[in-house]
Amino acid sequence: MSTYKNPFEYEQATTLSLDFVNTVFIEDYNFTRFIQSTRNVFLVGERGSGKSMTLLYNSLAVRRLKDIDASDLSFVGIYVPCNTALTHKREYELFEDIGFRQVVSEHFMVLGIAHAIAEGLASLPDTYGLASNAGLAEELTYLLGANLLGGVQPLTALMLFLDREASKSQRSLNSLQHEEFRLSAFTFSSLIQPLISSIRRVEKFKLSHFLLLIDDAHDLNPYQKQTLNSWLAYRDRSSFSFKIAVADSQTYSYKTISGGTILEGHDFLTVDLQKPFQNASSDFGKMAKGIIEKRLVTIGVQATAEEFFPGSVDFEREIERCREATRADALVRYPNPEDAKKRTDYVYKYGRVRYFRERASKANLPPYSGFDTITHVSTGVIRNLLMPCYWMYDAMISGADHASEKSIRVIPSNIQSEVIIERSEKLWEWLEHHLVSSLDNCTLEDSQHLFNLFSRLGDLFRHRLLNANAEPRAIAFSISGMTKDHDKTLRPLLNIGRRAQLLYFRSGPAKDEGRRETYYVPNRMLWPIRGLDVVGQHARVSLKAADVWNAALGDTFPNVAPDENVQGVLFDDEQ
Amino acid sequence: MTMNSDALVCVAGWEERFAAGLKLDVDRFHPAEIVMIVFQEFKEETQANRLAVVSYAAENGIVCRELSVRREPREVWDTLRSDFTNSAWFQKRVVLDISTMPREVIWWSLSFLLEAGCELRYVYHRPQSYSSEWLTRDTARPRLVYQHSGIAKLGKPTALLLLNGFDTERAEQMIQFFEPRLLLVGLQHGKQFGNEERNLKRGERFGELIRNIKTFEIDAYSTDHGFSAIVEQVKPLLPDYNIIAASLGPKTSAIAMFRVITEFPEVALAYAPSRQFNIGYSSGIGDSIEGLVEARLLDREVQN
Repeated sequence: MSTYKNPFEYEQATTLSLDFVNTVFIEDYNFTRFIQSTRNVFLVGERGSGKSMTLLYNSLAVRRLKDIDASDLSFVGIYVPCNTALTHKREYELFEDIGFRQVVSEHFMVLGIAHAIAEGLASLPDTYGLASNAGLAEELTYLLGANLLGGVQPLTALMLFLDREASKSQRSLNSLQHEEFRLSAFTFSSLIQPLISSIRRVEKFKLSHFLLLIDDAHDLNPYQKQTLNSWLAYRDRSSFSFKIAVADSQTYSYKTISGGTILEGHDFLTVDLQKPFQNASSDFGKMAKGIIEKRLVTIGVQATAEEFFPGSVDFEREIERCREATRADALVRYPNPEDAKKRTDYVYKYGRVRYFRERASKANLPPYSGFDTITHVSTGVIRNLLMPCYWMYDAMISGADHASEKSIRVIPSNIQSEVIIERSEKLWEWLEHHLVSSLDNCTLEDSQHLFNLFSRLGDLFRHRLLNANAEPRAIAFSISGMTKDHDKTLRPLLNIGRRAQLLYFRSGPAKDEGRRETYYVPNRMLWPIRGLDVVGQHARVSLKAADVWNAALGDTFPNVAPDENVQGVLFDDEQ
Repeated sequence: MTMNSDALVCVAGWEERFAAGLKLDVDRFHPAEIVMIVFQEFKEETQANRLAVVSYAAENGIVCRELSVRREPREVWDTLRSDFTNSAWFQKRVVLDISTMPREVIWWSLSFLLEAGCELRYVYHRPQSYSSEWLTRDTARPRLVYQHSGIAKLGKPTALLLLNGFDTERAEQMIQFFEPRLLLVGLQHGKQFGNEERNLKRGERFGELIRNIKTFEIDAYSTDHGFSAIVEQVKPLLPDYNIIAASLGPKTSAIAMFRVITEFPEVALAYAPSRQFNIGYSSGIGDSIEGLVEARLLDREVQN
């Protein structure tokens, strides 16, 4: 394994240093204004969409690195990870008493939150008025009934106390001594609320609002989720609010302990981190450029993303030639001066198509390079954006001698293309051979069905790219005619595709006015090896559920007239 | 050399080595009783072997008792606890045949029977060969093992320790599920069953999921089954990490792992059960490995 610093590291955010998070994060005001607020917010996005980075960036630990003004404590972000060894403990299942299960689950959750608060604040210098605050130590001792260790600062003493409690209660639980546990269990109101109140009695924190940044809440056990939801229903949000990151809002339960349900708009807002559009002028396109350029700065490169990842000159020349030829066609088709928009649309739809159709007879794959291509290949997921960049940089390093490592100023287009095609090939290999063992609750049949489905979708999209008149570059689809039977067979399969990050679910306008529908975007990294145009177009193919299921079973999609199976939805913000 | 024992505990399997191994066990340990844990989901697949074992036991005047259970963790735990904490087990000489025993069953059996004051031996019969095709698949979500889920420290990152043999597809899921800050991989020493090639391929795939990987060699077939090698890795990490450990390789490493968690109860055991097994998982029966479980290990846990 190499030890050089790759600026496009795409590991989970929690493995990155806080300094790195602070340096490379691109702040999106659309999200920040909700996070730095007193509202309860759910941040929803699949793996790699930037949930953890967003929460970490808003944590006190990272914001301190920005040298915020010592008096700027209006929002104090406390990062609370849920994918921890403590959260995964399941001994509560050994007890029949539902009430006890709730007690155990809440106890461990609040210990984790309290520790995160104490740890976050303990790192502040003495000027914040916490480190040598004897009053705070006395208050915590009194309120928590805790025998806090003397000789250390109050929050460090609190952390030690919490650690001791956590250790004690885990030992009790592991040995099934539940009576002892029941007596000493903490709750939100017996631990977190008094703790926050005590901190807010310190002068500099008296107006502070605590943002409890709960990451990966989908990893909480069912009782913890219910408990967390119940906290969201608290009316008084003057001193704290929750910002909760979950991978999927559809499968996350919004039930509370009492059996009620928290309501969007009333109890919380949802911020969707999923990005349906990837072109250069889209929000994601701009963010992608910002992310890459910030990362380039970390290796001393001042180039733009487009300069660092240039497209193939031949490809771009060919595309331009095809556009010109198509423009000439458009003039013949729509000669009237008032048909300018029609001509533009025609070139948009068929310019790139001409390139792929003219080269169809050639055996080799087209080149896949250029920052725009990389952005489209990401399918709107930040980790998917960074991943090929990481391996391109890695390929450059492994091909370079040590002395030239520091002088990588550009990734040649042929390297980009090789890496993208290789990653595409690997993704298919993974789908065909390893999905079954890499994903829980995925049977061999499921993985074969998914492989068939994507394979057949590839055939369909390629057929359309080379033959269809209407929306030939569509590489997304919607499903019509779902029956109860398909709900039992097809929907679980699509969900496995989603969990495997092979398929992204998006919401868009349906044909019926005012209605919205879910449509599906296969991970675009699947398509380079199939010779498809990863740029796609703003349209989706409408497929019948029966045909999709048959494709999963291995059948090809029927050759229906293009006008019947394509819904040409052009999205305003992409034009 | 033969010896007498009060009971032999095993999990019914369909592999050749199960019935053949039980015969060797009977001849070697002369148990007064065989307790055969039977998973209801695999009753048909194990029927022929079970009949063979019952018949051989009867020929030798041994009582054979079946503990039928669904392969659900809570039900298995309940069943084992309810049976093994019965006073009838108090200070008995017990042999565990772990050849076809899932790790959770090994760990719970060891802890319940040690708690009952039993003198515990284990025996493992290696197969002659493994299938060159897939071994297991359709894995359920990874989980921490009841009562062996460690003592997690607040605010510390996770280190995942994987002891890998070649039935390692579950490793990827473990990495994705626990998202560790550090991955420690114990690789089985030696060239048997194509280990080297498999280890190389595995390393490439793990590298896609996590950068911070440390590998070390263990020999699960040595006398301590890799215990010392594991301790050497685990001990320095304890102050800074919550360690979650999984034994995915040679079955005997589960014994070493049990020793590790009794020495270091902070370490959690994880398990990811497969729900589909290749019926031709292995063939034949090879060498047998056996050992004595030291009762002092549990005393230490109780004192803590």
